[in-house]
Amino acid sequence: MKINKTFIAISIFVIVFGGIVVSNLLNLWSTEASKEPAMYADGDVKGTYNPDDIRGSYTFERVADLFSIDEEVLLEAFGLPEDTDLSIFKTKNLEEMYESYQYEIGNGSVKVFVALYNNLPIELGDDYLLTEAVDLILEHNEMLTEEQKEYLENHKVDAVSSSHPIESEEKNIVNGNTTFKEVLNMDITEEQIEEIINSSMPPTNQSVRDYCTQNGLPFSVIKNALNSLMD
Amino acid sequence: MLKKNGFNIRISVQIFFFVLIGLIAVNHTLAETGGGIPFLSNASLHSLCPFGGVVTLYQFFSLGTFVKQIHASSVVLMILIMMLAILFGPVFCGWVCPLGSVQEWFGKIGKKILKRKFNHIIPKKLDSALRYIRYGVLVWVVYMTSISGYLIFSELDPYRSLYNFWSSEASLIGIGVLVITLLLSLIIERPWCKYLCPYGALLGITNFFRIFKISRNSKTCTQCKICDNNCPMNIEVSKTEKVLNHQCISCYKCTSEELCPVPDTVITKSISFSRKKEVDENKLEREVE
Repeated sequence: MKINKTFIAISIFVIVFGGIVVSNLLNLWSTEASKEPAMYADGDVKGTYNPDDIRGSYTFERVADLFSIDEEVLLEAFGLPEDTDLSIFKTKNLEEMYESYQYEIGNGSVKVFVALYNNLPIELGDDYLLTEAVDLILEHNEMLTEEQKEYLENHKVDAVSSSHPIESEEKNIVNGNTTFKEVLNMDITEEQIEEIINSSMPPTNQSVRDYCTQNGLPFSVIKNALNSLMD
Repeated sequence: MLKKNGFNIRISVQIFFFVLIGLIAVNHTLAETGGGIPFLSNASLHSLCPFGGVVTLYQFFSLGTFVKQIHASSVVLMILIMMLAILFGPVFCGWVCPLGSVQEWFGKIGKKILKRKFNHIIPKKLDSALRYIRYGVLVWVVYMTSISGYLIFSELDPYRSLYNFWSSEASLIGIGVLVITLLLSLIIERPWCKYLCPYGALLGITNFFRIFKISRNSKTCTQCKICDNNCPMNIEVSKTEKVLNHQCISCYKCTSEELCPVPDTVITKSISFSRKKEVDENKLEREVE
Protein backbone atom coordinates (compact mmCIF):
# COMPACT_ATOMS: atom_id res chain seq x y z
CA MET A 1 0.00 0.00 0.00
CA LYS A 2 1.36 3.37 -1.05
CA ILE A 3 0.53 6.40 1.08
CA ASN A 4 0.88 10.15 0.71
CA LYS A 5 1.40 13.08 3.07
CA THR A 6 -2.30 13.86 3.35
CA PHE A 7 -2.85 10.32 4.63
CA ILE A 8 -0.10 10.84 7.21
CA ALA A 9 -1.49 14.22 8.31
CA ILE A 10 -4.95 12.73 8.77
CA SER A 11 -3.46 9.77 10.66
CA ILE A 12 -1.63 12.12 13.03
CA PHE A 13 -4.82 13.97 13.89
CA VAL A 14 -6.93 10.81 14.14
CA ILE A 15 -4.44 8.93 16.32
CA VAL A 16 -3.45 11.84 18.58
CA PHE A 17 -6.83 13.48 19.12
CA GLY A 18 -8.81 10.24 18.75
CA GLY A 19 -6.50 8.61 21.29
CA ILE A 20 -7.01 11.49 23.72
CA VAL A 21 -10.80 11.27 23.34
CA VAL A 22 -10.79 7.50 23.87
CA SER A 23 -8.46 7.71 26.88
CA ASN A 24 -10.69 10.45 28.29
CA LEU A 25 -13.74 8.22 27.91
CA LEU A 26 -11.85 5.46 29.68
CA ASN A 27 -10.88 7.88 32.47
CA LEU A 28 -7.21 7.43 31.64
CA TRP A 29 -6.56 11.00 30.54
CA SER A 30 -5.40 13.26 33.33
CA THR A 31 -3.21 16.35 33.06
CA GLU A 32 -3.03 17.06 36.76
CA ALA A 33 -2.57 15.27 40.06
CA SER A 34 -5.61 13.99 41.88
CA LYS A 35 -7.27 16.62 44.06
CA GLU A 36 -8.74 13.96 46.36
CA PRO A 37 -6.79 13.50 49.57
CA ALA A 38 -6.43 10.09 51.18
CA MET A 39 -9.04 9.05 53.73
CA TYR A 40 -8.49 7.72 57.22
CA ALA A 41 -8.31 3.94 57.02
CA ASP A 42 -9.62 3.15 60.52
CA GLY A 43 -10.98 4.53 63.75
CA ASP A 44 -14.06 6.70 64.28
CA VAL A 45 -13.07 8.91 61.38
CA LYS A 46 -12.69 6.04 58.89
CA GLY A 47 -13.71 7.21 55.40
CA THR A 48 -13.17 10.89 56.25
CA TYR A 49 -10.64 12.89 54.23
CA ASN A 50 -7.31 13.10 56.02
CA PRO A 51 -6.04 16.70 56.21
CA ASP A 52 -2.48 15.38 56.46
CA ASP A 53 -2.79 14.58 52.74
CA ILE A 54 -3.66 18.14 51.67
CA ARG A 55 -1.22 18.96 48.86
CA GLY A 56 0.31 22.31 48.14
CA SER A 57 -1.50 22.35 44.80
CA TYR A 58 -4.95 22.37 46.43
CA THR A 59 -6.78 25.67 46.22
CA PHE A 60 -8.38 27.09 49.36
CA GLU A 61 -11.75 26.69 47.65
CA ARG A 62 -11.05 22.97 47.32
CA VAL A 63 -9.96 22.73 50.96
CA ALA A 64 -13.11 24.56 52.06
CA ASP A 65 -15.20 22.19 49.97
CA LEU A 66 -13.47 18.96 51.05
CA PHE A 67 -13.49 19.74 54.76
CA SER A 68 -16.70 21.79 54.96
CA ILE A 69 -15.05 24.90 56.32
CA ASP A 70 -16.44 28.33 55.42
CA GLU A 71 -14.21 30.26 53.05
CA GLU A 72 -14.49 33.30 55.33
CA VAL A 73 -12.93 31.24 58.14
CA LEU A 74 -9.98 30.29 55.92
CA LEU A 75 -9.54 33.89 54.80
CA GLU A 76 -9.38 35.05 58.40
CA ALA A 77 -7.23 32.16 59.64
CA PHE A 78 -4.51 32.77 57.09
CA GLY A 79 -4.69 36.53 56.95
CA LEU A 80 -5.82 36.64 53.35
CA PRO A 81 -7.38 39.81 51.94
CA GLU A 82 -11.16 39.57 51.55
CA ASP A 83 -10.98 39.86 47.79
CA THR A 84 -8.63 36.86 47.44
CA ASP A 85 -9.87 34.51 44.75
CA LEU A 86 -9.83 31.23 46.63
CA SER A 87 -10.54 29.25 43.48
CA ILE A 88 -6.96 29.94 42.34
CA PHE A 89 -5.10 30.66 45.58
CA LYS A 90 -3.24 27.47 46.49
CA THR A 91 -2.11 26.44 49.93
CA LYS A 92 1.51 26.49 48.74
CA ASN A 93 1.08 30.18 47.86
CA LEU A 94 1.09 30.90 51.60
CA GLU A 95 4.80 30.15 51.67
CA GLU A 96 5.51 32.98 49.20
CA MET A 97 3.08 35.27 50.99
CA TYR A 98 4.77 34.74 54.34
CA GLU A 99 8.30 34.14 53.10
CA SER A 100 9.66 37.00 55.19
CA TYR A 101 8.30 35.45 58.38
CA GLN A 102 10.58 33.90 60.94
CA TYR A 103 8.47 30.74 61.03
CA GLU A 104 7.09 28.99 57.97
CA ILE A 105 3.39 29.46 57.30
CA GLY A 106 2.49 27.14 54.45
CA ASN A 107 0.77 23.98 53.43
CA GLY A 108 1.67 22.29 56.71
CA SER A 109 -0.12 25.09 58.57
CA VAL A 110 -3.27 24.47 56.53
CA LYS A 111 -3.16 20.77 57.44
CA VAL A 112 -2.89 21.50 61.15
CA PHE A 113 -5.58 24.17 61.02
CA VAL A 114 -8.05 21.95 59.16
CA ALA A 115 -7.39 18.95 61.43
CA LEU A 116 -7.71 20.83 64.70
CA TYR A 117 -10.61 23.00 63.52
CA ASN A 118 -12.56 19.89 62.56
CA ASN A 119 -11.23 17.81 65.46
CA LEU A 120 -9.57 15.26 63.20
CA PRO A 121 -6.51 13.22 64.21
CA ILE A 122 -3.13 14.50 63.05
CA GLU A 123 0.48 13.95 64.07
CA LEU A 124 1.62 17.38 65.19
CA GLY A 125 5.04 18.33 63.93
CA ASP A 126 6.60 21.74 63.75
CA ASP A 127 4.06 23.73 61.78
CA TYR A 128 3.07 27.24 62.76
CA LEU A 129 -0.26 29.08 62.63
CA LEU A 130 -1.20 32.72 62.77
CA THR A 131 -2.71 33.88 66.06
CA GLU A 132 -6.02 34.40 64.25
CA ALA A 133 -6.05 30.75 63.18
CA VAL A 134 -5.35 29.57 66.72
CA ASP A 135 -8.18 31.74 68.06
CA LEU A 136 -10.57 30.33 65.49
CA ILE A 137 -9.64 26.76 66.41
CA LEU A 138 -10.04 27.39 70.13
CA GLU A 139 -13.38 29.03 69.50
CA HIS A 140 -14.70 26.30 67.19
CA ASN A 141 -13.32 23.08 68.67
CA GLU A 142 -14.10 22.47 72.30
CA MET A 143 -12.76 18.92 72.16
CA LEU A 144 -9.08 19.87 71.94
CA THR A 145 -6.78 17.94 74.25
CA GLU A 146 -4.44 19.70 76.65
CA GLU A 147 -1.53 18.57 74.50
CA GLN A 148 -3.11 20.15 71.40
CA LYS A 149 -3.83 23.38 73.27
CA GLU A 150 -0.23 23.50 74.43
CA TYR A 151 0.97 22.87 70.88
CA LEU A 152 -1.16 25.74 69.58
CA GLU A 153 0.13 28.03 72.28
CA ASN A 154 3.72 27.18 71.34
CA HIS A 155 3.18 27.36 67.60
CA LYS A 156 1.27 30.57 67.13
CA VAL A 157 2.80 33.37 65.18
CA ASP A 158 1.97 36.97 65.63
CA ALA A 159 1.51 38.57 62.25
CA VAL A 160 3.40 41.73 63.11
CA SER A 161 6.28 40.57 65.30
CA SER A 162 7.22 37.70 63.01
CA SER A 163 7.50 39.63 59.80
CA HIS A 164 11.25 39.89 59.66
CA PRO A 165 13.50 38.04 57.25
CA ILE A 166 14.72 34.54 57.93
CA GLU A 167 18.45 34.60 58.49
CA SER A 168 19.42 31.61 56.40
CA GLU A 169 19.62 32.29 52.67
CA GLU A 170 18.20 29.25 50.92
CA LYS A 171 17.08 26.41 53.09
CA ASN A 172 16.57 22.83 51.97
CA ILE A 173 13.16 21.72 53.10
CA VAL A 174 11.58 18.28 52.84
CA ASN A 175 8.00 18.58 51.65
CA GLY A 176 5.35 16.29 50.24
CA ASN A 177 7.00 15.97 46.85
CA THR A 178 10.55 15.40 48.01
CA THR A 179 12.05 12.10 46.94
CA PHE A 180 14.67 10.20 48.93
CA LYS A 181 17.20 11.09 46.22
CA GLU A 182 16.56 14.77 46.90
CA VAL A 183 16.94 14.13 50.63
CA LEU A 184 20.33 12.51 49.93
CA ASN A 185 21.25 15.55 47.85
CA MET A 186 20.61 17.68 50.95
CA ASP A 187 23.65 16.03 52.59
CA ILE A 188 21.62 13.63 54.71
CA THR A 189 23.13 10.14 54.70
CA GLU A 190 21.42 6.83 54.04
CA GLU A 191 22.13 5.81 57.62
CA GLN A 192 20.36 8.88 58.99
CA ILE A 193 17.33 8.21 56.78
CA GLU A 194 17.26 4.54 57.81
CA GLU A 195 17.40 5.54 61.44
CA ILE A 196 14.47 7.94 61.07
CA ILE A 197 12.23 5.57 59.14
CA ASN A 198 13.48 2.61 61.18
CA SER A 199 13.88 0.53 58.07
CA SER A 200 16.29 -0.08 55.22
CA MET A 201 16.74 2.59 52.57
CA PRO A 202 13.66 2.77 50.28
CA PRO A 203 13.98 3.22 46.48
CA THR A 204 15.55 6.64 45.94
CA ASN A 205 12.95 7.63 43.35
CA GLN A 206 10.12 7.27 45.84
CA SER A 207 8.73 10.36 47.52
CA VAL A 208 8.95 10.53 51.31
CA ARG A 209 5.20 11.04 51.51
CA ASP A 210 4.40 7.99 49.36
CA TYR A 211 6.75 5.86 51.44
CA CYS A 212 5.09 7.03 54.67
CA THR A 213 1.60 6.43 53.27
CA GLN A 214 2.53 2.92 52.12
CA ASN A 215 4.18 2.00 55.40
CA GLY A 216 1.70 3.61 57.78
CA LEU A 217 4.20 6.17 59.05
CA PRO A 218 3.16 9.72 60.02
CA PHE A 219 4.54 11.86 57.21
CA SER A 220 4.65 15.02 59.28
CA VAL A 221 6.83 13.35 61.94
CA ILE A 222 9.25 11.88 59.40
CA LYS A 223 9.36 15.15 57.50
CA ASN A 224 10.16 17.12 60.62
CA ALA A 225 12.82 14.64 61.69
CA LEU A 226 14.51 14.98 58.29
CA ASN A 227 14.19 18.75 58.31
CA SER A 228 15.70 18.91 61.78
CA LEU A 229 18.87 17.28 60.42
CA MET A 230 19.33 20.27 58.16
CA ASP A 231 19.18 22.84 60.93
CA MET B 1 14.50 24.01 -5.16
CA LEU B 2 11.70 22.28 -7.05
CA LYS B 3 8.26 23.02 -5.72
CA LYS B 4 5.41 20.79 -6.77
CA ASN B 5 2.60 22.83 -5.30
CA GLY B 6 2.19 25.82 -3.05
CA PHE B 7 0.45 24.10 -0.14
CA ASN B 8 2.65 22.07 2.17
CA ILE B 9 0.49 20.02 4.48
CA ARG B 10 3.39 19.14 6.77
CA ILE B 11 4.17 22.79 7.46
CA SER B 12 0.48 23.39 8.18
CA VAL B 13 0.49 20.56 10.72
CA GLN B 14 3.71 21.92 12.27
CA ILE B 15 2.20 25.40 12.61
CA PHE B 16 -0.98 23.93 14.08
CA PHE B 17 0.86 22.10 16.86
CA PHE B 18 3.29 24.97 17.45
CA VAL B 19 0.40 27.38 17.98
CA LEU B 20 -1.73 24.90 19.93
CA ILE B 21 0.98 24.04 22.46
CA GLY B 22 1.91 27.74 22.68
CA LEU B 23 -1.66 28.74 23.47
CA ILE B 24 -1.98 25.99 26.08
CA ALA B 25 1.29 27.11 27.70
CA VAL B 26 0.09 30.74 27.80
CA ASN B 27 -3.26 29.57 29.14
CA HIS B 28 -1.47 27.66 31.88
CA THR B 29 0.28 30.86 32.97
CA LEU B 30 -2.98 32.81 32.79
CA ALA B 31 -4.81 30.16 34.82
CA GLU B 32 -2.29 30.58 37.62
CA THR B 33 -3.41 34.19 37.92
CA GLY B 34 -7.11 33.48 37.58
CA GLY B 35 -7.47 34.30 33.88
CA GLY B 36 -7.42 32.03 30.89
CA ILE B 37 -8.69 31.36 27.41
CA PRO B 38 -12.12 29.69 27.51
CA PHE B 39 -12.55 26.21 25.95
CA LEU B 40 -8.79 25.68 25.82
CA SER B 41 -6.80 23.34 28.04
CA ASN B 42 -4.57 24.97 30.63
CA ALA B 43 -2.55 21.82 31.20
CA SER B 44 1.08 22.12 32.17
CA LEU B 45 3.76 21.61 29.55
CA HIS B 46 5.00 18.51 31.37
CA SER B 47 1.60 16.86 31.23
CA LEU B 48 1.58 17.23 27.43
CA CYS B 49 5.08 15.95 26.80
CA PRO B 50 5.16 12.34 25.56
CA PHE B 51 8.79 11.98 26.65
CA GLY B 52 7.56 12.39 30.23
CA GLY B 53 5.78 9.09 29.68
CA VAL B 54 9.08 7.45 28.79
CA VAL B 55 11.02 8.68 31.81
CA THR B 56 8.27 7.76 34.24
CA LEU B 57 7.94 4.14 33.07
CA TYR B 58 10.43 2.69 35.55
CA GLN B 59 8.77 4.41 38.50
CA PHE B 60 5.33 3.49 37.22
CA PHE B 61 6.18 -0.21 37.07
CA SER B 62 8.31 -0.29 40.24
CA LEU B 63 6.24 1.93 42.53
CA GLY B 64 2.94 2.43 40.75
CA THR B 65 3.36 6.22 40.75
CA PHE B 66 4.44 8.83 38.24
CA VAL B 67 7.57 10.95 38.46
CA LYS B 68 6.79 14.35 39.97
CA GLN B 69 4.98 16.72 37.56
CA ILE B 70 4.21 13.85 35.18
CA HIS B 71 0.64 12.70 34.80
CA ALA B 72 -1.29 9.95 33.03
CA SER B 73 -1.66 12.16 29.96
CA SER B 74 2.09 11.90 29.26
CA VAL B 75 1.89 8.11 29.23
CA VAL B 76 -1.17 8.18 26.94
CA LEU B 77 0.63 10.54 24.55
CA MET B 78 3.76 8.40 24.65
CA ILE B 79 1.71 5.37 23.56
CA LEU B 80 -0.04 7.31 20.78
CA ILE B 81 3.22 8.77 19.45
CA MET B 82 4.83 5.33 19.54
CA MET B 83 1.88 3.96 17.53
CA LEU B 84 2.44 6.68 14.94
CA ALA B 85 6.18 5.93 14.88
CA ILE B 86 5.63 2.21 14.35
CA LEU B 87 3.36 3.06 11.42
CA PHE B 88 5.14 5.97 9.77
CA GLY B 89 8.45 6.46 11.60
CA PRO B 90 9.24 9.48 13.80
CA VAL B 91 6.51 11.73 12.34
CA PHE B 92 6.36 13.33 15.78
CA CYS B 93 9.80 14.83 15.09
CA GLY B 94 9.11 15.93 11.54
CA TRP B 95 5.49 17.01 11.87
CA VAL B 96 4.51 17.69 15.46
CA CYS B 97 7.38 18.63 17.81
CA PRO B 98 7.37 22.42 18.20
CA LEU B 99 11.08 22.50 19.06
CA GLY B 100 11.86 20.64 15.83
CA SER B 101 9.64 23.03 13.89
CA VAL B 102 11.21 26.17 15.30
CA GLN B 103 14.70 24.84 14.53
CA GLU B 104 13.56 24.12 10.99
CA TRP B 105 12.22 27.66 10.60
CA PHE B 106 15.45 29.15 11.88
CA GLY B 107 17.22 26.87 9.42
CA LYS B 108 15.38 28.51 6.54
CA ILE B 109 17.06 31.80 7.49
CA GLY B 110 20.43 30.03 7.72
CA LYS B 111 19.90 28.48 4.31
CA LYS B 112 19.34 31.89 2.75
CA ILE B 113 22.55 33.17 4.30
CA LEU B 114 24.86 30.19 3.84
CA LYS B 115 23.29 28.74 0.67
CA ARG B 116 24.89 25.35 -0.16
CA LYS B 117 27.15 25.40 2.87
CA PHE B 118 24.14 25.30 5.17
CA ASN B 119 23.84 21.96 6.95
CA HIS B 120 27.18 20.81 5.52
CA ILE B 121 29.56 22.58 7.88
CA ILE B 122 30.64 19.72 10.12
CA PRO B 123 33.02 17.12 8.62
CA LYS B 124 31.12 13.96 7.74
CA LYS B 125 33.04 11.60 10.03
CA LEU B 126 32.72 13.83 13.05
CA ASP B 127 29.07 14.49 12.25
CA SER B 128 28.29 10.75 12.09
CA ALA B 129 29.96 10.15 15.45
CA LEU B 130 28.23 13.09 17.13
CA ARG B 131 24.86 11.70 16.15
CA TYR B 132 25.21 8.88 18.67
CA ILE B 133 25.46 11.31 21.59
CA ARG B 134 21.68 11.44 21.80
CA TYR B 135 21.57 7.77 22.79
CA GLY B 136 23.87 8.58 25.69
CA VAL B 137 21.56 11.45 26.62
CA LEU B 138 18.58 9.10 26.44
CA VAL B 139 20.20 6.52 28.73
CA TRP B 140 21.40 9.21 31.14
CA VAL B 141 18.01 10.96 31.38
CA VAL B 142 16.04 7.74 31.84
CA TYR B 143 18.50 6.36 34.41
CA MET B 144 18.81 9.56 36.43
CA THR B 145 15.05 10.18 36.43
CA SER B 146 14.44 6.58 37.45
CA ILE B 147 16.74 6.71 40.47
CA SER B 148 15.85 10.23 41.56
CA GLY B 149 12.09 10.32 40.97
CA TYR B 150 12.12 13.84 39.59
CA LEU B 151 12.55 15.44 36.19
CA ILE B 152 16.28 15.86 36.24
CA PHE B 153 16.38 16.89 32.54
CA SER B 154 13.75 19.57 32.94
CA GLU B 155 16.18 22.36 33.82
CA LEU B 156 18.14 21.80 30.61
CA ASP B 157 15.24 21.06 28.31
CA PRO B 158 15.04 23.67 25.52
CA TYR B 159 11.47 22.57 24.70
CA ARG B 160 10.39 23.60 28.19
CA SER B 161 12.21 26.91 27.86
CA LEU B 162 10.62 27.57 24.46
CA TYR B 163 7.18 27.70 26.06
CA ASN B 164 8.14 29.03 29.47
CA PHE B 165 10.66 31.78 28.83
CA TRP B 166 8.14 34.36 30.03
CA SER B 167 7.45 32.66 33.33
CA SER B 168 9.38 31.94 36.50
CA GLU B 169 9.33 28.23 35.58
CA ALA B 170 12.04 28.78 32.97
CA SER B 171 15.60 28.18 34.12
CA LEU B 172 18.54 30.26 33.00
CA ILE B 173 20.39 27.12 31.83
CA GLY B 174 17.36 25.98 29.83
CA ILE B 175 17.05 29.36 28.12
CA GLY B 176 20.78 29.24 27.39
CA VAL B 177 20.43 25.80 25.79
CA LEU B 178 17.48 27.06 23.74
CA VAL B 179 19.36 30.13 22.51
CA ILE B 180 22.41 28.06 21.56
CA THR B 181 20.16 25.55 19.76
CA LEU B 182 18.47 28.30 17.77
CA LEU B 183 21.78 29.95 16.88
CA LEU B 184 23.20 26.61 15.74
CA SER B 185 20.05 26.09 13.68
CA LEU B 186 21.30 28.91 11.46
CA ILE B 187 24.21 26.73 10.29
CA ILE B 188 23.03 23.16 10.94
CA GLU B 189 19.52 21.90 10.32
CA ARG B 190 17.84 20.69 13.53
CA PRO B 191 21.01 20.48 15.69
CA TRP B 192 19.12 19.47 18.83
CA CYS B 193 17.29 16.67 16.97
CA LYS B 194 20.49 15.39 15.35
CA TYR B 195 22.84 15.36 18.29
CA LEU B 196 21.07 15.62 21.62
CA CYS B 197 17.35 14.89 21.60
CA PRO B 198 16.71 11.81 23.78
CA TYR B 199 13.15 11.35 22.53
CA GLY B 200 14.29 11.61 18.92
CA ALA B 201 16.84 8.91 19.69
CA LEU B 202 14.12 6.59 20.93
CA LEU B 203 11.69 7.30 18.09
CA GLY B 204 14.49 7.05 15.52
CA ILE B 205 14.87 3.35 16.29
CA THR B 206 11.41 2.73 14.79
CA ASN B 207 12.89 3.56 11.38
CA PHE B 208 14.24 0.02 11.31
CA PHE B 209 10.86 -1.67 11.73
CA ARG B 210 8.21 0.90 10.82
CA ILE B 211 5.34 -0.44 8.74
CA PHE B 212 5.33 2.31 6.09
CA LYS B 213 8.87 2.74 4.83
CA ILE B 214 10.35 5.32 2.46
CA SER B 215 11.58 3.41 -0.59
CA ARG B 216 13.52 4.44 -3.66
CA ASN B 217 12.99 2.82 -7.03
CA SER B 218 16.53 2.45 -8.39
CA LYS B 219 15.19 1.69 -11.88
CA THR B 220 13.61 5.08 -12.34
CA CYS B 221 15.99 7.10 -10.11
CA THR B 222 18.12 9.51 -12.16
CA GLN B 223 20.69 10.03 -9.38
CA CYS B 224 20.05 13.77 -9.43
CA LYS B 225 20.65 13.75 -5.65
CA ILE B 226 17.97 16.32 -4.92
CA CYS B 227 16.82 14.00 -2.14
CA ASP B 228 20.30 13.86 -0.59
CA ASN B 229 20.86 17.59 -0.82
CA ASN B 230 17.56 18.46 0.80
CA CYS B 231 17.35 15.89 3.57
CA PRO B 232 17.45 17.86 6.81
CA MET B 233 19.20 14.93 8.50
CA ASN B 234 21.76 14.51 5.68
CA ILE B 235 20.64 11.00 4.80
CA GLU B 236 21.89 9.79 1.42
CA VAL B 237 18.60 8.54 0.08
CA SER B 238 20.04 8.08 -3.41
CA LYS B 239 22.34 5.33 -2.14
CA THR B 240 19.67 3.17 -0.58
CA GLU B 241 16.64 1.17 -1.64
CA LYS B 242 14.86 1.73 1.65
CA VAL B 243 15.52 4.50 4.15
CA LEU B 244 16.53 2.53 7.22
CA ASN B 245 18.40 5.34 8.93
CA HIS B 246 18.00 6.02 12.66
CA GLN B 247 18.07 9.75 11.98
CA CYS B 248 15.14 9.90 9.54
CA ILE B 249 12.40 12.21 10.90
CA SER B 250 9.81 11.24 8.30
CA CYS B 251 9.48 14.72 6.87
CA TYR B 252 8.97 13.15 3.41
CA LYS B 253 10.90 15.98 1.71
CA CYS B 254 12.78 13.36 -0.34
CA THR B 255 9.67 11.77 -1.78
CA SER B 256 8.30 12.15 -5.29
CA GLU B 257 5.35 13.87 -3.72
CA GLU B 258 7.60 16.74 -2.63
CA LEU B 259 11.10 17.15 -4.07
CA CYS B 260 12.03 14.07 -6.10
CA PRO B 261 11.40 15.15 -9.71
CA VAL B 262 10.61 11.64 -11.01
CA PRO B 263 7.08 10.39 -10.30
CA ASP B 264 6.74 7.28 -8.13
CA THR B 265 10.45 7.01 -7.47
CA VAL B 266 10.79 7.86 -3.81
CA ILE B 267 7.57 6.78 -2.18
CA THR B 268 6.18 5.61 1.14
CA LYS B 269 4.72 2.16 1.11
CA SER B 270 3.92 -0.59 3.54
CA ILE B 271 6.18 -3.58 3.99
CA SER B 272 3.62 -6.09 2.82
CA PHE B 273 2.94 -4.12 -0.33
CA SER B 274 6.61 -3.79 -1.18
CA ARG B 275 7.20 -7.51 -0.68
CA LYS B 276 4.18 -8.41 -2.78
CA LYS B 277 5.27 -6.02 -5.50
CA GLU B 278 8.79 -7.45 -5.45
CA VAL B 279 7.36 -10.95 -5.86
CA ASP B 280 5.08 -9.75 -8.68
CA GLU B 281 7.97 -8.00 -10.42
CA ASN B 282 10.19 -11.05 -10.14
CA LYS B 283 7.37 -13.21 -11.49
CA LEU B 284 6.88 -10.82 -14.43
CA GLU B 285 10.60 -10.84 -15.20
CA ARG B 286 10.64 -14.64 -15.22
CA GLU B 287 7.65 -14.72 -17.55
CA VAL B 288 9.33 -12.30 -19.95
CA GLU B 289 12.46 -14.42 -20.00
